[in-house]
Amino acid sequence: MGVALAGLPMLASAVCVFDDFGDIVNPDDPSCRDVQLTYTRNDNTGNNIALGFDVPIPVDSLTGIDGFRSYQSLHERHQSLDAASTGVEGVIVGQTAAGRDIWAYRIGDTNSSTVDGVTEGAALINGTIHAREWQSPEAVTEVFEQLTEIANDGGFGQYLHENFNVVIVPVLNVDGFLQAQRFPDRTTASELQPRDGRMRRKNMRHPSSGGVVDEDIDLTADNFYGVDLNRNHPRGFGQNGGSSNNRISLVYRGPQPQSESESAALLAAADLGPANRLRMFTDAHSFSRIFLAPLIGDNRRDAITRDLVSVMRSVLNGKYRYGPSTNLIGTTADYFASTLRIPSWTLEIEPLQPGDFGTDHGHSGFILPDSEVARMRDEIADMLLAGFYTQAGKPALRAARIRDAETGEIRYDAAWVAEGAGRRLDVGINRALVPGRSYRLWLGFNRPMRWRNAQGVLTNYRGLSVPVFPYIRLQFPALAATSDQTVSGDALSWRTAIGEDGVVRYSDDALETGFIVPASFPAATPVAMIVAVDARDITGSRLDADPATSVNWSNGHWVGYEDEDGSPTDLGGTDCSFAPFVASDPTSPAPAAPDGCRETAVTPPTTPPPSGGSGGGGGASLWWLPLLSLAAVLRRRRW
Amino acid sequence: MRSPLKFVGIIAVLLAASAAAGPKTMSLGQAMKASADPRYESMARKADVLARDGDAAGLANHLATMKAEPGLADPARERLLHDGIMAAAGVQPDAALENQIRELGNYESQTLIWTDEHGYREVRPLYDFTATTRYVRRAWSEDAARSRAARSLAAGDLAVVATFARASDAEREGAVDAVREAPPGYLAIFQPALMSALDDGEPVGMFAAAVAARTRDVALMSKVLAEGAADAALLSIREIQSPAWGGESVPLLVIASARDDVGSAAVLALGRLAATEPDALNFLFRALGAASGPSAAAALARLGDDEVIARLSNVLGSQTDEATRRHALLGLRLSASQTAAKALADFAHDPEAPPRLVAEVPTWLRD
Repeated sequence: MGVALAGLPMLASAVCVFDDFGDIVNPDDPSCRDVQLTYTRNDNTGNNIALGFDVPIPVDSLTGIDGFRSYQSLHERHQSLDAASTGVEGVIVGQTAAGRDIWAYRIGDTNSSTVDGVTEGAALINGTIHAREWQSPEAVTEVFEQLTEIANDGGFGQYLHENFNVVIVPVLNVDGFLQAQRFPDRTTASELQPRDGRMRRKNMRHPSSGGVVDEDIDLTADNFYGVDLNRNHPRGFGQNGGSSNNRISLVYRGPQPQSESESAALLAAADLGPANRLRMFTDAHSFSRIFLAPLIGDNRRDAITRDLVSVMRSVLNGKYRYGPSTNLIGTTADYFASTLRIPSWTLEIEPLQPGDFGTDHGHSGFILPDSEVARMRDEIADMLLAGFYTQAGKPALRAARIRDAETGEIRYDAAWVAEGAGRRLDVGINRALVPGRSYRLWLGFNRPMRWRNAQGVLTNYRGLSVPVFPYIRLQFPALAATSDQTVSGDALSWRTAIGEDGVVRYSDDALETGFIVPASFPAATPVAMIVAVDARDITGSRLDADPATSVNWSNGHWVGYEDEDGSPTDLGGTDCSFAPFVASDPTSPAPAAPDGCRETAVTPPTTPPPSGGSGGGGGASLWWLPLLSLAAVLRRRRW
Repeated sequence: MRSPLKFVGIIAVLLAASAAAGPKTMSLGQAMKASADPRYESMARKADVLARDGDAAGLANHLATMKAEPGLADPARERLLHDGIMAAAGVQPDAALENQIRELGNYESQTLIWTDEHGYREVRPLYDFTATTRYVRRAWSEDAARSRAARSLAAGDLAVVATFARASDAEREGAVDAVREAPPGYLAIFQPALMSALDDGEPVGMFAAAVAARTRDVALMSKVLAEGAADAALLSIREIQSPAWGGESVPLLVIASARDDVGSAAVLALGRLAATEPDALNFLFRALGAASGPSAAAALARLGDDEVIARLSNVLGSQTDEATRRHALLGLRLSASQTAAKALADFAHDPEAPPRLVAEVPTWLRD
């Protein structure tokens, strides 16, 4: 979080003085610099600050608890996940200012290609760049844990494991985090802008010596020092009023862009993706429940960012907000958004407001009660996993098969097969469908298309809403449109097992349904049919309408992701590539395949999450309401 | 026909009035300056004195006065109200103070300050009176529950157990405080009721944990560690590492180690005892290969002595079970000692070592 300015000093003893920017102007004044503050549950007397809940103390536990884990046990947890699986690669990507190792972990299978033979994409998550934001390492560790736990689930998790890489830096600012955990109930300076100990934000760099500040909170001479690692990157460095060149500032940007070894380590972590395959960057912070997303003026990339955030926000029914910004100030998100042109954001984890769980102390939002931590971890992981799935690739039909429902005979069988850099449609069987007969239609996709809960029941992925049944229209371009028919979802079955007309590779990557060619169908001569499929996957992406070209990510947008007209898009469309035919004579030869759909068959868009709003203090954003009322009056009036 | 200009003028006046009456947005520095009213010190001091004296009625009146004080700038008023409300948390309330706090919970902050997070500007109220008054009511609830529980404990009233199970979170906090402050002699009588309640799945874990800690009751502590809620079990794991529990610490921690939710914390706690408790050390080695194996490996690595490293090396080299070997390998990886590094390097260069395991040896020890 940046300059979290909320609340006025309540302590007579705290006499730090601030300028309008928020920097302390008397850092050498002992009555500011030497003030020692203690967090408590209820004691608000003297230099105590009541939080309204028990002060969280780091716990040694590898596995997640209702609370915060110590850095050492978090690190042990990451190492244990690494040692347990070939699907995790732990790498030391650099050292902190104090020389401690910074670790990154790449999670995904060991090859670099998707099961479709396309180069895998990747996501990078940075954790704990700001030392006091303890929600961050817990959340990103949960993501790490879940990715490894679901890697062999046969469905969603396995798909991610085989087709995507996730690089996680659980704790970038190791020195600062250790300092914050060393003093879990103590801080210094001012309640308005608490600095060292539990409320340390920056790294431990000493600006004069080039070394590090001491770790003794009682030795106050250097307590204000350190570099804000989230203002230390080149895009927007020192611009737009978002950082300070004052060495004691909470947002001191450092002497030059990427001056800090921690910043270099993050770049090295990006290379594990590798960087040119990254499609998503998250810098996990707290607090205020918002995706702060830099916009860079690239319309497609910016729109993809907005839509991707919308998907993740919908996972939690809009609990998190969307905060786009064009003012780059040297953050990590600014850097990755600008240089790699990928969706990037600063994810400010809960709470929304400082007083959501306890007292309204301006900085209490950095301290989440133990009792909220496990839920918070799960929620963040669910959001980010939805983001990974969305960016791992786009849905496409891979195969279609039609059987006579009574005899089981295959009447149509086609699949997209690899050819060079793309694919061609291989139609193995194409025999007439006969009016009056019932058929079973099987469709195979390239990824799990539906989500199941722990009990195996089809359901929405948390707050996301996707119809169980795709919109399937049987079109007959040679006839009037009234001849077309929509396939009912009554007999729909999403497949979960291997076998005849079973899954392609993953649970729920194939479906079967039934249809009847009406006996009255005018098919004296063979009539070509198009199976127009408009399906949305688990997070709402539409199909790649032209599977002949492989979907990939390049220069800030998707490539090879076409709509039904064959136009390049970032939104997909309706697949019309499978073309069986209808004829009264079952031995009739197939007519020429039609050239695409008759019409665009668009399903309604998924419901967007509630608007982000401005959060607390909404009164200021409502200034225009009286104007609206007046405008309404004026519209009615004639003069 | 009226002139449109007149309406423009009316709109401008209305908007100006609206802006004057509504909340004001400013920087924090501006809010601080605006709050520096000459009356602040005396009014704040009076609130402090009233709170210190426990004068609930006086504080209620003073809060009402500060809320209505004419000519006081909003930031100063809100700062005074906020501090006064916080002070009320430590006062035994009367009806007037309760009413005043309830009313202040609806006070809408007239001072908004902007924040500029990562280039994204938004505003927040200077003080959140809803949150602050909610906190005060919680503190009162906690205090009242503490007093009630203290009386029940002194009277040996077993109903306090059932009351705890139905209580709010704040009331439970107060009751647990009462247990921690009660003479141990008051508490033994509650053990059977607590054991029974835990058997029945009643949410009395924190109460039972506090009683067990105060009375050094091994049976009750065992029950908490085996069946209590995770928060109570976690708290108890911290408690039973105390030397006061003597030889009971290890068997109690072993009970907790079997749990999914807090088992790792228990295993790491066993690791802290393993330097002096052979039973704990042996438990950790036995745990390699089991679900708690990674935690056991970490605990052994933290010990870091050469004997432990040698035993881990032996497990890695001699066991056939892959999970056990992976956990031993993890223990060596986590150990910072040169001995462990050498053991891993030797393993990596052993032609008999399975490549799947060698792949988990850090690359700089493989080359």
